[in-house]
Amino acid sequence: MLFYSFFKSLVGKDVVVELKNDLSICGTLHSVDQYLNIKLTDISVTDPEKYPHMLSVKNCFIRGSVVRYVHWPADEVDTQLLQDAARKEALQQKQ
Amino acid sequence: FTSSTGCRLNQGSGKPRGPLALEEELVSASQLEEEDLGPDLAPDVEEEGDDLGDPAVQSAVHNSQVRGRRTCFSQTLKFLSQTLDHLAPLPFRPSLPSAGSAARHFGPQLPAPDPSLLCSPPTSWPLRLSLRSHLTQLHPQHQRILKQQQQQGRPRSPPAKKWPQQPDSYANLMTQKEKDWVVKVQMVQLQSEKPRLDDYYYQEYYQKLEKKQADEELLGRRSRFEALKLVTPYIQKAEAYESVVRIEGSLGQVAVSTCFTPRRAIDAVPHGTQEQETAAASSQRLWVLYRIEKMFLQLLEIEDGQQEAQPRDSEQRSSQVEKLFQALKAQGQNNLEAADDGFLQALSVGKGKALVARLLPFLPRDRAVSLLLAITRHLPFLVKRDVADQALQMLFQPLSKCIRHLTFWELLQGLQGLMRLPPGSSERPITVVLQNQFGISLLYALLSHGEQLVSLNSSLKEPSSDHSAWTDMVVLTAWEIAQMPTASLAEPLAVPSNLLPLFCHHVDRQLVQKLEARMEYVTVEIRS
Repeated sequence: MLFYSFFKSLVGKDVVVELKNDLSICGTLHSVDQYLNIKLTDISVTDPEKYPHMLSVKNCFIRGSVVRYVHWPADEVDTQLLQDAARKEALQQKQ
Repeated sequence: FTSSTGCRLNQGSGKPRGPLALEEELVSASQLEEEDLGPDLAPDVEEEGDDLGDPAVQSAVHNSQVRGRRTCFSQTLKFLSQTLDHLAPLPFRPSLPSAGSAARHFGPQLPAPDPSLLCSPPTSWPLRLSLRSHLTQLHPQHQRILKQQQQQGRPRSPPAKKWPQQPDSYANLMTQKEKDWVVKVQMVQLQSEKPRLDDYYYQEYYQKLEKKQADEELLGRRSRFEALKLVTPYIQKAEAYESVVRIEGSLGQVAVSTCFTPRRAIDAVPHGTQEQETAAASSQRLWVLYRIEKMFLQLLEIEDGQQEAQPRDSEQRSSQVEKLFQALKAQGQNNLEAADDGFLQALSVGKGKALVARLLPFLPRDRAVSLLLAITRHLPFLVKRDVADQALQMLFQPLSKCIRHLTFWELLQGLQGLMRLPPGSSERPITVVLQNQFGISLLYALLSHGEQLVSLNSSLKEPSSDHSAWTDMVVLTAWEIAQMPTASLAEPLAVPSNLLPLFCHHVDRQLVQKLEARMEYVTVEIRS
C-alpha cells in the first residue's frame, strides 16, 4: 500500500506518465487506486505529436500494469518520508 | 542407399549415411585448402545402386579419394559453398578458380547437407560426433589432422549397423527445411564474434600445433602443404535484432514479443559511480549502510513513541535513545580504528547524517555535546566526505541548538580542534572549514556562543589560560577569514550578529575592514 499512499498525496499535481509502449502522457493526476491505475485529466502527449490519436482526448484512464515510469517535480515529494514509509513497510512484512 | 556425400542428392529416408558422409560434412564446412572426397564421387556411388553396403561405398570412396585427391576439391568447394549459402551465408569465399562445370552439374539437384545425419549418427564415430554440423567451422589444422587420420586408414570401427528393412513409421516427421532450421538455431547460439575468447582453448591448441608443424617444416621435414591462408572462420554475425518494433501509424510500440524481441520494460542501467571501489571498501560501505538502516528502525520507534506522548514511557524512551546512541558509536567489523570511527562512518553517508540530525533532539545534553565535539574534531574529514551528498546542512539546525548548551570549556575544546595543525600538513583545518558552507556556519555559531558566554559571564573576562586561549582563537579565526579570498569563502547559513563586534574588539582596524568586506555586514550591532 506504500505507493498507493504515496500517489494519493500527489493527486492534483502535474505528472508525466511513461508507458511501456514508449508513449509519454502529461496530465494532472486525478485519482489512483490500489492497483495504481491512474486517471489523468487535461492530457497532452509530451513527445512530438507523432501520436495524433491523442489530440482529442482530454481525460484518460491508464491501467497500472502498462506504466513504466511516472515523472513528477522533485519538490513535491518528501524523500525522507518516503524512506521512512519504506522502512515501516519492510518491518511490517518481516513480522 | 543413396548419396553418401555431404551434399544430399536425394531426399529420402532418414537412414544414416555412415561415417563417410559425416566426414564430408566436415569437409563441406571447411576452409579453402581442404582435401576432400568430392561430390563428383557421388554419381559413382549412386550408380552403384540401391544397397546398404557401406563397406562397398567406403572402398569406392577410398579409391576415388586416392585418385582425385587434389583435382576435385576446388569443384567440390564451389559446389559446397553454394549449398551452404543456401542455408547460411558464409563470410568467406573460396578463392579458387571456379569450376563452372561441376557446379552446373549439381546445380539443379541442389540439396542441402544433411543434418539428419546427426540425428541418428552412428555410434561408431565418437570423434565425428563432436563435430556438430555443417555449420561447424573447424580450425584448418584440425581438419588436416582429421583428414590425415582418415587417410591413414585409421582402423574403422565396425560399420554402422544395418537398419531394418521395414518402413520406419517415424520417418519424415520433419522436412529437410525444418531439420535444417533446428540445427541452425543450435548453431547460431554457438557462433560468436570473439572466437579467441569464447573458444580459447580450441583456437590456441590448434594454432600451437600449426606453429609446431611449421617449425618442423622449416627444419626440413617433408613439407606437406603450401603456405596456407588462415581464414578466420567465425565471424558470422547473428543479425542484430530490432529491440523495438515500430509500425507506422501505431500508438507507440507494438505489442509484439518474441524470444528475440522481448518487450522492453525499463532501462534500468546502473550508473556506476566514478570512484573505483575495492571489494573491501564496498563491503565496508554495505556494512555501514546496514547498520544505519537498523538504527533507523530504532529511531522510528522512538519518534512514534514521542508522537503518542505518553509520559510514563519516558524511561523506556530514554533507554531506547541510549541504546541507539551506543549503536551509533559502535564499530562492527574492524575495531582497530579510533573511538569516533563508527560515528564518523555513519556520518559519511547521507542517510547517516539524516539519522543523526533526527536523533540529536532526543539526546541528553552530555551525549549531544560529545557528538558535537566529535563532529568539530573531524570537521575537515566530514567536509571532504560530503562533497557528493552535500547533506551536512541538515545537521546545522540541531547542532546549533546543541551549541547553546555548551559550556565555555567544551566550546574551547571544539574550537581548538580546528586550530591545531595536523601532523604532516601546513594547513590548519580551519582553512578547509571556511570554504564549506556547513563548516563556516558551525564556526560562526560556535564563536557567537562563545562571545555570548564571555559577555554574560564576567568571570571569564579575567585573564586566565582559558581566556587567552579564547582570544587567540578569535584572532586566529579573524586572520584566517581575512586571509582567504572572498570567492572561496563559503556563504554561511546564518551569520550571528555579535560576530563582527567580537572581531572588532580583538583585532585592529585594518583587519576589521577586511572582515567587513568578507562578511558583508549590513547592520552592525554595537555591543554595549
